[in-house]
Amino acid sequence: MKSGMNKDMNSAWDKIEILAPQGLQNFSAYLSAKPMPVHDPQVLDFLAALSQALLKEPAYKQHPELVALGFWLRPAHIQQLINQPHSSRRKALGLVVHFTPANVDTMFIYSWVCSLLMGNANIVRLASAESLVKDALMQCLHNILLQPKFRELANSNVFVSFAKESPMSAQLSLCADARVIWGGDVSVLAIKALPSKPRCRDLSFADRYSAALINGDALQTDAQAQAVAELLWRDTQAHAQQACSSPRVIYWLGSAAAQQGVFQHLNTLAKPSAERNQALNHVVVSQLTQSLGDATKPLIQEAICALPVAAVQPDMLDWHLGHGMFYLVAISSLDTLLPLLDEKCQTLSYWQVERDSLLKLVEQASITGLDRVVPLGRALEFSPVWDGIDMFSSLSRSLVCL
Amino acid sequence: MIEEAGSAMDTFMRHYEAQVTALMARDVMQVSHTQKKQDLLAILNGLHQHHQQTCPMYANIVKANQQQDAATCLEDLPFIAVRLFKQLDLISIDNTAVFKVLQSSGTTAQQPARVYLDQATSARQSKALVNILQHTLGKQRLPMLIIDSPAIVKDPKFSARAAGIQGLAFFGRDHCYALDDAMQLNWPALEAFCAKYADQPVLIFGFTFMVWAYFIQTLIKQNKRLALPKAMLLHSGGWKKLDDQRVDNASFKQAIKACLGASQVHNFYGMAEQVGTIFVECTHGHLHVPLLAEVIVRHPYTLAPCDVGEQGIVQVLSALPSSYPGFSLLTEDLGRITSIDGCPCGQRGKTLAIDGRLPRTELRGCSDTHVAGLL
Ligand SMILES: [Zn+2]
Repeated sequence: MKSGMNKDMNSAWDKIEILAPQGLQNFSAYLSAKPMPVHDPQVLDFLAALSQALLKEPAYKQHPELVALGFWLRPAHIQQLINQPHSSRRKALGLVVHFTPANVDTMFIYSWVCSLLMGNANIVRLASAESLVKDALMQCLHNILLQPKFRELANSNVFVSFAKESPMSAQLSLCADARVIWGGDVSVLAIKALPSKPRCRDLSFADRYSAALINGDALQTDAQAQAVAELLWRDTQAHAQQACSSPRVIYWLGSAAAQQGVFQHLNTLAKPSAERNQALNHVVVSQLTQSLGDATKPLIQEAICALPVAAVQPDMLDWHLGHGMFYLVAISSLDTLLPLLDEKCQTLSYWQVERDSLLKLVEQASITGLDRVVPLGRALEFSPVWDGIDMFSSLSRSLVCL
Repeated sequence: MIEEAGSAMDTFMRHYEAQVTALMARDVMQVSHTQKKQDLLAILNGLHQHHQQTCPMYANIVKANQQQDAATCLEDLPFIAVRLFKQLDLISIDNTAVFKVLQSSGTTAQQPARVYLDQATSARQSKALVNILQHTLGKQRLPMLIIDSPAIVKDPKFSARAAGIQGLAFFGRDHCYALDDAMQLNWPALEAFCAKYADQPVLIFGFTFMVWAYFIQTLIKQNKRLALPKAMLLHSGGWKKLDDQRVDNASFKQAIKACLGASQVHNFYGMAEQVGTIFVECTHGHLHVPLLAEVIVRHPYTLAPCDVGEQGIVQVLSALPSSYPGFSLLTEDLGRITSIDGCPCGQRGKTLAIDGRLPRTELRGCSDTHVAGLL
């Protein structure tokens, strides 16, 4: 009887496809994997090896997302992150199950690294959507995890894929000590609705959008316009502007004189990689927005599109298709920004706005959104505090010893 | 006040109907492209004003783009991206005047487009269809074989496929459906039809994919032939679904000849958002732009008009729709203008080639579901 049941369960797990590391052990072994100590040397060595591979090997050079990841993972930076003072001793939670968005983004790798640094065993479910970046990343992880010195890690971390509608999400939820859930509002709520252990922690990263704040009065020269365009490009090129942290809205403070120049430069930067349906998508999003009645003519509508609007409405964020679409909102003073920042707004990246007055503004309790305020050009830099959640403390237990 | 506005509208509609009727009465073998453009521009400028007055969303869009005024050439008229019909209820008539709502489904995950028709627009579409197809089919109603299942037209949800069949059925008589409700060939019906009309001209209509996958492929697999040498086949719907089967117009025609003995095969291009405005393939294999319509091909990266022969996004202008603002639509299709006033068949105006559809946008990023409806 009993062995029959085991066999059934094993064959159910067979529906899970292991992407990395392949060929080491059966999937079910990962369910009982042992956690490791916090900041384990093996983990630090592994992250250094991953960084090295992503930065040095030619296969990854063509993916800016992976190069950025490699840069973020370099040992000096990781040391900087984990050297933050901790008020108490920390231990791993156990098994963390990660659900990543349907269309792959490298963001989930960062939350996995945070979990790994806290010593957890991890099962990362990747969506089945085809992606060159995903394939390259899985190949890289597989190669490194297969090195004998990382064996313990390889036996407690696995990247898998299975159909969204399969019962695997429910099965894995029952085993998880924490669930990290990336995705649209609907997908996040669907995972959260699945039963889990009573003490399971959920870290949800649902739909957000981001904005940039540019001080037009400080924009005097064409060289500055070019510089602003380059910073905007840095924040929107990766993931085709579809990452939550990429600005879709630009709040333009003061003089509009340099707007045309900035967007022309940005268009020039975007042109070489523009897709054939990009301008048409911009027309669709512009016309949908214009139908609401308070948008004007786009300043430019080619590889990128800058559409002046009176205010951002929720529909406009749903319609947004990325690839360099910007809603441009003119504001006359910082105070007028306050009512425009809603709870879905995640990151505000700023250019030539006095940091202190900005911080004073965003610290007001009436602002329910806005979890990050960063200089323009650094919107996509991941930090272990994300969406207002401290990943290190959320993915570990604090030990009190009196 | 209201009465005055009403009568202004009546005056417009009378004038507009007269313009459309006059254009339809012209001879497609005689009217040069330059002449046709002038006639069409007057009608379309009228529609442009009409929809600004009757459809607030259309008015908002053209106002935002500073395009309220009459255009001086067809290229300068505003266009609406056809995808908007999936997201918005674009309608230029009172709800009580809605006679039919056309839904084009696309694939299952997509939101269907909704096109609102009043009786006048619907009647105009039917008239235009007759006007255009008579050139190819002649005035006589032929016995008609429909390559579909009768269930599709009985479905209360009025699909674009059903609308297409119903529109075309008007051109035939003694209709026979080639497929049963299970989408299998209905042999008794087919054999009876062939026995009765073997030596006579008959009309066959079906969607390209249906004709190929459910009709021709089944005949080939069952190693059967039908003798309908005088049949004329009309088909539409595009080659996209047949891409993986490597079927093009030439091999399609070859297969028809082999299976039915018929050599008159005419493809036509059209869309649910502009029923009645169809582009029929002539005997020289070119899709002709009808008198009531114009095609502008736009550069995919700049949306500027392309030269003859240059591939771009197809914009279709049509004199027909007054109940919804669809007289100038930017489609998702890629195509080329192949000639102007130059087809050896003698029809004047532009000819067009459709090369496929633009790729869909790959969505990535933190969120994964919310934009799916847009594509
Ligand atoms: Zn011709």
